[in-house]
Amino acid sequence: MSDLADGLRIEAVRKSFGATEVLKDITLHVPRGEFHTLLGPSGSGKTTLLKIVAGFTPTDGGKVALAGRRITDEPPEHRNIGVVFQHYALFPHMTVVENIAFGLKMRGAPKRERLERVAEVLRLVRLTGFDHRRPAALSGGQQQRVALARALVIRPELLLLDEPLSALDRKVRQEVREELKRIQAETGVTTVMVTHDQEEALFLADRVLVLESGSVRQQGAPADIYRNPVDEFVAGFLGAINLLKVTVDGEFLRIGAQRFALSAGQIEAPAAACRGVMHLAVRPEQVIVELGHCESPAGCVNGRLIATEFGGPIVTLRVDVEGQEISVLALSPDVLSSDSWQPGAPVWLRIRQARLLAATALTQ
Amino acid sequence: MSASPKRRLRDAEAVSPFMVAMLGLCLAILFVPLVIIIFLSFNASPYGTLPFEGTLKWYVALFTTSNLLGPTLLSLEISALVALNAALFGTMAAVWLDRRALRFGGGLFRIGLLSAITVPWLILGLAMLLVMNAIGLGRSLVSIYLGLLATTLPYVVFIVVARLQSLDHDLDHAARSLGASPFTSFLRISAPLLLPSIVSGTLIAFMVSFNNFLIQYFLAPFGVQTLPLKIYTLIRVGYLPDLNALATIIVLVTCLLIAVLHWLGLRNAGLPGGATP
Repeated sequence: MSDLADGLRIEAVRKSFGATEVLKDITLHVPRGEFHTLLGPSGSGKTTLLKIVAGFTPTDGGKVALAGRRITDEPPEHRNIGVVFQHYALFPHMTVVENIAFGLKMRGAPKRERLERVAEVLRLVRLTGFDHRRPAALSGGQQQRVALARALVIRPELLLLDEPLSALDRKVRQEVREELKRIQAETGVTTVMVTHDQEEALFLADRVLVLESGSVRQQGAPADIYRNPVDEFVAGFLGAINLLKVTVDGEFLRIGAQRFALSAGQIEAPAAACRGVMHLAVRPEQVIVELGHCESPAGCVNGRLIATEFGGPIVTLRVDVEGQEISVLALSPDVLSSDSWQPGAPVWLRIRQARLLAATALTQ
Repeated sequence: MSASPKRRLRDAEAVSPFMVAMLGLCLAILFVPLVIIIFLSFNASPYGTLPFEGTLKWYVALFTTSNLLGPTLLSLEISALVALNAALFGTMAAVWLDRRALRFGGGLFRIGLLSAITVPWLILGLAMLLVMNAIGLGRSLVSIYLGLLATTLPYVVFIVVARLQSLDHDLDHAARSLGASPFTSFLRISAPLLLPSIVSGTLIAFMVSFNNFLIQYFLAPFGVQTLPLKIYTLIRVGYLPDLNALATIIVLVTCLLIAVLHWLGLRNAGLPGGATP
């Protein structure tokens, strides 16, 4: 039985609210010790799925199993799952220590053991000296550490993180994000995080699952799905991307009047699908841009610079190729060192890696 | 554009003298009668006439010759019972309303509760008497209890539900995921956070019940007199300043109660006038 495997197993889980189908037959497996991220826009069903796993919401159908135990109908208090909430959900009338010890108290642990384990987990999240403060007296980052400690102290079979970083401001978010990664690696707890922030998902997870309107669009290692998105939604959701209308012409791709080839390994697409008008999905950082005209006609395309947008370490160049606009990232010293990067200047582009996608009705 | 030099921009946050005057007037209307009653309770003249002559004889009379103590005790007992029950049932109803009720049922319940506040007690009292007669309770202490409970329940429910709605539902989720049963979670997490609102709801229920002349008038058995009913009879036949002494004591106790609430840190408990946290 696959149910007996370790980790979290979700099989054909369905959920509707009234006429709205929020989850459509979701099946996924998180092996023990791994860090998976459910990534999706709001309304994709990711939070509902998390609530179903935690036991706050019943399913309409399907199975949830944790460490080989069916928990579909177990109440949350019997699941042994630690949950960290977006707005911390610390008990405001309890001190830091009381908050963290709550789960141990519910399990009937004697006072000495409680104090020892609380101290241990506070060292783990690197938050000492605040033992008897109330949550209101802590900063957002500190509160989220307490929440994490409270979820971990019960030694849960699974750790669920519900947008844990989105209530923090930018700098603290970065810091807590790194802490989260370290703590997860140190404890080795199976972790599922829900987020709408692709950067967070790519940074933290061993495996990212992209959810959209109730079903999994794509799953895989972060770098893999970033490089090889299966469709335009995933491509666009994981980061900025250019979608160029091209026609496939034998071994060449045609864009307007220009014909160019991508050498083997540069292009990744299901071969059978390569016919007619396609979208070439190119990340802005996968394009090399140079001033002047292309020398080897088959390997590159010519264009004209429209605008340069300064963004600190990088500059975004907007280039017009046969009436289509392409964004290209360049390191700002490369661009700022020369006066030639003016709107209207002729440039040529070489694409390092791209992916051909079927052009959908949405973007055509 | 010829802006007159006399017109100056006013600070939008500034307190206008008019507002201060209105506030003073309102406070005066509230407190001057109280001060007069307290003043007269120490005055020897039985007809409230001056010159002032200090005495404590009305206080002595209150506890010896007057027959005000019986009705006062009865009113206190009934109101305490009603307030405690309203607190219990009101909190339960509030939890149901916030966590479990469907939109339609919950809405209907709210409208029902609201009508218990908005429909004049005169009409409610009459209607209740008809119902009590129909179900065989008639005018009785049980009828008074039920009538007062119905009129005080909405206050508790609305005060507690307002606090419940401001509580993060994830607090309950967090407690459950940490191993607490629904009941334990309520006792350990929600109840302590709701306590200030429950206490203030109970106090308001007590006051509404204590004051509610109309419901008591309609439902009291003949011969049984609560304090409002007693005062009503006394006013018709003329009364002695021992009533002023009783009023003074009631005002004093109320002030003490509010002071204790502040001392307990419940000043923001959703009592009318308390700042919301």
